[in-house]
Amino acid sequence: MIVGDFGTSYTKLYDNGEARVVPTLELPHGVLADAGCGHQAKGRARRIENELVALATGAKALVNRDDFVCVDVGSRDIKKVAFKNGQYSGCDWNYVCGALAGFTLELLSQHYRLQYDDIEPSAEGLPVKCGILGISSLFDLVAQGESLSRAVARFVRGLAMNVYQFAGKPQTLFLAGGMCQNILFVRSIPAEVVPLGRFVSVEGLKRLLEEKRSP
Amino acid sequence: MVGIIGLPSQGLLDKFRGQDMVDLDCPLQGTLSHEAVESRCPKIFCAVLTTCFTNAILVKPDVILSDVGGGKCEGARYLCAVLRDLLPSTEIIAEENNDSVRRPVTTGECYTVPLRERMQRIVDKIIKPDLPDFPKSDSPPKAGFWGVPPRDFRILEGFPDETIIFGWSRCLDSRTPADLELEMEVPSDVPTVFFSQAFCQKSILARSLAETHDGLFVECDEKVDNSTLLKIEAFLKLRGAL
Repeated sequence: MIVGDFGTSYTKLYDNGEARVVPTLELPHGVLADAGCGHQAKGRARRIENELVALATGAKALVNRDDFVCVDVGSRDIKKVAFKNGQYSGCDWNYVCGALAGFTLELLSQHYRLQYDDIEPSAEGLPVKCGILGISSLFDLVAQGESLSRAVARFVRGLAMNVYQFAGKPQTLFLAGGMCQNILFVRSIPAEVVPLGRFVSVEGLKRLLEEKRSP
Repeated sequence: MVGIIGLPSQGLLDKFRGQDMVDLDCPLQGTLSHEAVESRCPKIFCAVLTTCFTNAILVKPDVILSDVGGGKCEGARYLCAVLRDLLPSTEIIAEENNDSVRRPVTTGECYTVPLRERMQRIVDKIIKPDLPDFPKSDSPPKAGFWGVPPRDFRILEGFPDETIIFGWSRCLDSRTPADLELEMEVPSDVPTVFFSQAFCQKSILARSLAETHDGLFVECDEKVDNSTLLKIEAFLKLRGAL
C-alpha cells in the first residue's frame, strides 16, 4: 500500500511499511500512490481523498479521547477537525490566509539562519494577519532595535495565537503537521499541546483505503 | 422590460403580469464583469447586489420592482436610490414585501431532483410563478442547505439529492420573504450547511444557527472557492450525508 499526503512544501509518504517525508519538489517522477490528499496530490494518486476527511479519520484513530480538537498547521493552510462525544462535530479550513504558517517560518529561518529551538517564547505577540505583512512588522521591530530573537519570538507568538484562536481556544490542542517539530511554536500556544506528528492524514488515508478494500 | 430585485409583493407583481420580466439578481448571459458599475460600487460589497446593479445598468429596464427591507435587505433600498439617479428613464418602485400567507412548498423537499436544479426552480418561479413545483419526497432528508440562493450555484453541486432547503430560499419558495420565523426554522437532526453571501447581514443568522445546530457555516463572495467546496464535502461525508 502506498499513500501520500502531498503538501505544498513536503510530501508525507507511506510506502509499504516505510514512512518518510520528502520535499514535494524532489519527489521522484512517476510516484503513484493508491490514495492521496493535499494540494499536490493531483496526478500522483489513483484515488484522491478530501484532506479534511483524511485528517479527521487519522486524528480519530490516533487520539484516545471522545472530545478533542486537532489542528493541522501546513505550509500554506490550517485545518481543524473537532470531535464531541466520539462523533465528528465540525471542521474548518483556513486556506488562503492561514498566516502561511509553516512556509513563512521556514522562510524566516533560512533568511536569518535561525534555530527556533534556541529561542525563548514571548508572552507578547505581533499581530500576524498574513505571513508577508507579519514579516514586515518583524523587520520593523528589528530596525527599531528589538533583538532578533525577541522579535522572532513575538512573531511566532502571533502565529501561535492565530492557530489557538482558529482552534476555538481549547484547553488541550492536538497538533498535526510539520509545526509539531518547531518547539518555539509549540511552546507559544497558550494551551496544553499534544503533538501528533506529520503523519496524521497519512494514517487517515491508510484507514480510508482499508475501509474501501474491506468487503 | 420589467426588472425584478428580490421578491416584490404579489400585489405589485400582478400589476405588471404579462410584461417581459428579468430577474436582476441572477447573472445574465454575457454579463461576466462588473466593469459597468466599478466606479460606483465598492469592491467590498454583496455580490448579489453588485449583480443587480450591473444588470440594471446594462439592461436599463423600463421599470424596476424591488423588494427592500425585511424581505430583501436595506442594501437593495440604497441600490434603488442610486439607480434612481443613474437611470432617470426607469420607473423604480421599491417597496417592502410584507406578504405573510405562506404558500405550501414542496420543491425544497423533492429528493429525486438535484439541489441545484431545485434552487434554480425556486429562483425561476419569482418571475414565472406558474412553473410547476417539484413534488415532495416521502424519504427523510440526509442534509440541509440554509441560506439565500447563492451567487455561485456551484456551491450546491456537492450535496446529495436528499438535501432539504431552509432559510431565505425556503421563504422565497413560500413567497413570504420577510418571514423571519420560517427563515430560522431548522431541525437539529439534519446536518446542515449554513450559507451566507459575504458582506450580507444575514451572516449573523447563518453563523449563529450553525452554532446552535452543530452545522457548518460557510461564507462566499462572487465565486465559491475550492476550500469551501472541500469543507462542505468533508462536513457532509463525516456527518454521514454522503
